[in-house]
Amino acid sequence: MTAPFRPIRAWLVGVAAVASLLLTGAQLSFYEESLPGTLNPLYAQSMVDFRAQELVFDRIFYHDPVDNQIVSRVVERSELAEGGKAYRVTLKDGLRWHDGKAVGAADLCFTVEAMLDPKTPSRIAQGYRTVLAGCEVESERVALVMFTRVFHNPKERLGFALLPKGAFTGTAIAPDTDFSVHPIGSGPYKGGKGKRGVTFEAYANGHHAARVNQLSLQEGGDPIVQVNTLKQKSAQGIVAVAPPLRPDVSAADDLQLKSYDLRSWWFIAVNTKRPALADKRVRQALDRTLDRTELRTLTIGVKPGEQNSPCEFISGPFVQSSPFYNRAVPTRDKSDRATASRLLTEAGYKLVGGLWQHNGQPVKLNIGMLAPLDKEAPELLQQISNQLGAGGFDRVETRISVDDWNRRVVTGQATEFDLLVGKWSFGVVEEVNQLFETRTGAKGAFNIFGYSSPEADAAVAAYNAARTDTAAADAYHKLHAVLADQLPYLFLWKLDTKSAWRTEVRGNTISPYFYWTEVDGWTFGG
Amino acid sequence: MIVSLLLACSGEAPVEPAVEGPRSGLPDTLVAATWQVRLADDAARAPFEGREGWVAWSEGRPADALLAFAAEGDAAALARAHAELAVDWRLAGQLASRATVEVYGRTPMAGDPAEVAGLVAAARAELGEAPEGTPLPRPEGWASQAAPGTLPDAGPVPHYRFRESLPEGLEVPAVHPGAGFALAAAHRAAAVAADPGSAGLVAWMDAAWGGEAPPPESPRPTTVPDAWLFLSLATTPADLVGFGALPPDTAEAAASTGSPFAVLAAACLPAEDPVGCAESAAAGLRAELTAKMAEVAGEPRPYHRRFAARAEVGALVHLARVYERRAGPCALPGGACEGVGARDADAAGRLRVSALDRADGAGVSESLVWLWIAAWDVGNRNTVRAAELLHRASASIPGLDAARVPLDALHLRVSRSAAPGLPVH
Repeated sequence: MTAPFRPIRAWLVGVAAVASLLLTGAQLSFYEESLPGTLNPLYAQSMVDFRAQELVFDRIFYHDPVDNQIVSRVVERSELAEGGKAYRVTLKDGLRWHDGKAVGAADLCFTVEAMLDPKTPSRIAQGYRTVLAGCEVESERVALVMFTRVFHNPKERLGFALLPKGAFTGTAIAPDTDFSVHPIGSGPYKGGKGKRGVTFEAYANGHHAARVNQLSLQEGGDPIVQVNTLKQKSAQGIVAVAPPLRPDVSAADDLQLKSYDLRSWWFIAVNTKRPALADKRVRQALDRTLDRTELRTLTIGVKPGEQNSPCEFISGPFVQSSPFYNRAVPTRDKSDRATASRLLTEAGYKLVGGLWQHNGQPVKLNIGMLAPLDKEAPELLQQISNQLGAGGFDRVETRISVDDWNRRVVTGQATEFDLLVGKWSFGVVEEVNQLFETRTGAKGAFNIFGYSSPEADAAVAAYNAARTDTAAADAYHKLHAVLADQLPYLFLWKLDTKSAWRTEVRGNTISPYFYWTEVDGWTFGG
Repeated sequence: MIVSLLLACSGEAPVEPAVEGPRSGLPDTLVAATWQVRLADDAARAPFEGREGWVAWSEGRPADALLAFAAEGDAAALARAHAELAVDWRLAGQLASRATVEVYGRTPMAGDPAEVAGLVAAARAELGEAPEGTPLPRPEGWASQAAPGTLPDAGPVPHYRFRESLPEGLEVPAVHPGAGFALAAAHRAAAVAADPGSAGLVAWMDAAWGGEAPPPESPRPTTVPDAWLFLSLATTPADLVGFGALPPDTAEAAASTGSPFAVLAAACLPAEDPVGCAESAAAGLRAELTAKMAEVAGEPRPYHRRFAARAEVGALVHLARVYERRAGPCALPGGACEGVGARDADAAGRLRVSALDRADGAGVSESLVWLWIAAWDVGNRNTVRAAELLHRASASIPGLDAARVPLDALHLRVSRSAAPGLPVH
């Protein structure tokens, strides 16, 4: 018998009305991988930094997360000038900084000049110095931005965050000022960083109307506790939910997994400067001692033969779906202890009492790991250590805080370590020059252990000199092959990032890389 | 067996009682008519159990499934597998063609090989656009491969190596943009050869996923074998052949078409918040099917959630397609519009992403969804997600990575002309 038809439209309208009533005063709490290191957009070093800054600042132009068009919230109109070597930008009227002052062309030019100032020690600014040549204020809202050359896509080159001139005393901007903790932006939220979290208060502006009044960023602890807290409605979201817990999230009707497009790959950097690891054969032996399949199963939860795993092995510094990935270099999925033993023996190592010795001394590997990785891949450090132990290496493990990672590891000062477990994330640009080029001057800025190889340097130089896309891809294919042979990194895997949000959070479009670009459209019905 | 395998590969958590959530508002008869509810009955589902082909299908391995169906002698399932692979290949053809146009047509660079002009013209022709210049002809032989139970291929990849027009020019790999379309045609022919009675369904299914409209002599099928519905994104025959069709004006009239998706679309098209409405409606459909399946089976079972998740994903795909159709030219890549057209285009885009989220979240491995989104992304020059989705689909459909050649070229161009970027941890 046919049931009477229920008026679905009326029901849906009712739901929407109730939800909109609940929006008033909405507060939303979410877990991040860690606390941001800085809220100053010139000094972002982690994805957490970029994401937090996206809530506070406007980028001049950005890509729409839905259709990828280049759009702006702050620009009223723009046009090419001076034969294409400049871009005239007219800012919208009525834009306000979070301190109530008007946003104007002087701020845009100040931002450009700050990035061009060599006394601003920012890697991000350094990148823009190859693109930007200067800026002139033409009127209160009109600025003329000059480029170093003609670009066919000038808007793409203006993707930086707008800074307030009034908050600084000059164009030389230091990283460790109060602005990094209590920034003044023009974005949807006014942010303030505390010791245990970051609070973002919605700031009504002509170009932003965030519908969630307050966002509270908390550092995620135990991943199981994070998911349980979400289930109990004490928090609403987890930016990066651990893969082993994703089925649990998926099975809960009031939680939803959301994709977050980010190219991330994981590695173990090897200290090639340590005598015990300087011989390539030793690094190759370490590579063969690892059983990545077992590691992945034990830490990520991937089952043998699982289709469409979020975690895919890599043999070089790119994800497999990238055109820069050299598919001729095979991944090493399983351990090969026999070959590892042979290589170590050839390198002069001796196995004594089940432990390898080098020059008559036991080899003790000092292994460090970026601490938040434990939340995505629980027990990874311990499992790597166990495998190396089973392979005959004594070792000691340390979890490294984000602050220490930024301060010592990335800057190449953590030379007391033999192995460092980390991950790198990329957007559409996948340049790895700074990771592997010999550290000199501005080059090799993120070369963790000061690896230096003429072959790798030559490949990077070829990439930089490439006039065509094919030449660039070829150069990186060569770099991939060199690195897979010389092993300054033991490459592990790429790992998809997924967020978990309560279903009461609606309209939560997650932007690739920057995450919060569309936060104005988010609602939370309580 | 299939149920236990579904569980084994998903790592699903134990069944939890469903939280009271939105309901779809569908008439009970429509809910009862869905394959999810009908096949929640063990006896009704028995013909699908213990078969390699369906296990492969449930795991997102359509090519393996096709070969298994051929070995099992299941003509209907074989025809369905060929028909879906035809859609996959056509979407891959669109992706490759659009990437070719975007990289060499829209953003040419000094050094591009001279021959790419022919590739661009061929790509435009394949996309139904007016070609500029002389299209490079399709290599012969692709379309003639139509043997049921076999996987046609387009030969070794790349099809060409063109020399860059620079003194130190390197060889640039290239594929003919027609390869995907040719293999799609071969699969359609194989589907009909496998099961001549499926000709109408093959044509309508292709049209439902954006292919050419079926010929006038091919009326819309009203009955569909369960082999075409089981583990599909549709819920009923009317859904299967009506993906993306604009619904009647009222929910009552939509219900009379036999398509739950049409009912949801009729309810959401007038909504002020189209995305919110669509997501609520799709979630409501999932909840309602889950509850009804438990009623039919006598208890909640873990596979109910996955069957219902397919319906939710299907509903989101359908609603995205409906908004896209209503948006018309505004939904085309780069279509700059305002007003209702822009709102519909935006809703269509957001619902695509939502469908992908739900598919990924629920472990629904569906190459149709991946390629449908990837082809759209390429038109928007959003190469990062497109590359990842094509990479996924290529793992289970041999030869599909041919489409990667122009996509790689486009990604390189997009990446190298983007603002400076640094690795971050």
